[in-house]
Amino acid sequence: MSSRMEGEPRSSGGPRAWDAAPPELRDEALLDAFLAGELRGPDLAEFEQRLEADAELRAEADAQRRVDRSLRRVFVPADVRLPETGLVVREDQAAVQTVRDPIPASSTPASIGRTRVAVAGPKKWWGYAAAAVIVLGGATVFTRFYTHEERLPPLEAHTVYKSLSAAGWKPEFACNHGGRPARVQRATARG
Amino acid sequence: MPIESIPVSPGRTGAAASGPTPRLSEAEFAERFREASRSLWCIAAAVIQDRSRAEDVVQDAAVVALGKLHEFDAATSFLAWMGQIVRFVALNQGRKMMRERAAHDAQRHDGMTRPMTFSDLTLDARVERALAQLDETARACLLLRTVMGLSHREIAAAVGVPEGTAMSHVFRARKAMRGMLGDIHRCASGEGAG
Repeated sequence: MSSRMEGEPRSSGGPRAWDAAPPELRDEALLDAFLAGELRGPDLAEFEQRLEADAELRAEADAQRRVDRSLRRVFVPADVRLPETGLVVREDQAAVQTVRDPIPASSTPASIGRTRVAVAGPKKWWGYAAAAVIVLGGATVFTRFYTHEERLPPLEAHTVYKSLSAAGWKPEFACNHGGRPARVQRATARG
Repeated sequence: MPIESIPVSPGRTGAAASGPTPRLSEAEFAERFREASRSLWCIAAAVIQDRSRAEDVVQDAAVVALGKLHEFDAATSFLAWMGQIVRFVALNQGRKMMRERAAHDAQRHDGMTRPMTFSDLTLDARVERALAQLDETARACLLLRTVMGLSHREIAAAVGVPEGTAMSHVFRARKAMRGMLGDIHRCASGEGAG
């Protein structure tokens, strides 16, 4: 489909426009067809006769021809190439489709950017396990080095017992053991 | 306007097809787009009234069309379908440009000593200014007729109006242009200079 050169004949491809035009636009329709090279045979001869006889119509035709030329000078259509972005989008769409199949039919280039591709994480639980180890390790280190409680050597039970008895403590329980960890019995039951 | 919200009807004409709707492959789309691109450029230029941006508009429309390619019935007019998309994209961008231009003009006019009158302009500039006074459909019809040499039927399909309406737009646009331009025989020296 290319722009037509002035005066180049062309087929009208349909009913004659000037016959279908309302009366007040009939001359416009004839002039339009004349300038477009669509007037043929007797129609063309008749219009040319009118142009010769009617100076006003001739001036209008000349003015319109100049306007048409001006429009063709000012508006030079570009052969627009398909945008690279469009093709890239389509490639992206295909790539997404390989991950998430099927892609919704309503997807458009604009929605592609919002498509979330699900990560079907192989061995995802390893990540959680590693995180747990790191957290536990950190907690251990923290409690080991950052607790301010002084760590004393452990006291044996009988030592404590003797000490408390010497201080006048009358226990409800008695320890019958000499040196090893206490085996406590009810004092009353023993007696 | 988001791409999803652009209303595009495939516009199947004639009897309803009994079989599956024929679709275009991307290669076929590219071929048809190449054939129609100059007419689409005219439509974009007519709507947006900025020739320098018309190509961008058509390219943006192509991206939209590619996203909606599954909706297009290959048995219908490609130019009609693409023309509709180009018009919507151009209208959206045109509104944005109008706001920018209004702000720019307000600044520029502050520094001008005398605004140019219509008679100061060359023929091409006067024609362009007169064209801008027409409504966008009339502009598109006139450009497709004079620049692309399309028939009224082709114009009607491209612009999405009945054939009689397209004809009427062309005739009235021609008449209105001549009325606005007045006696253009006195501005012969400016032809082509813009």
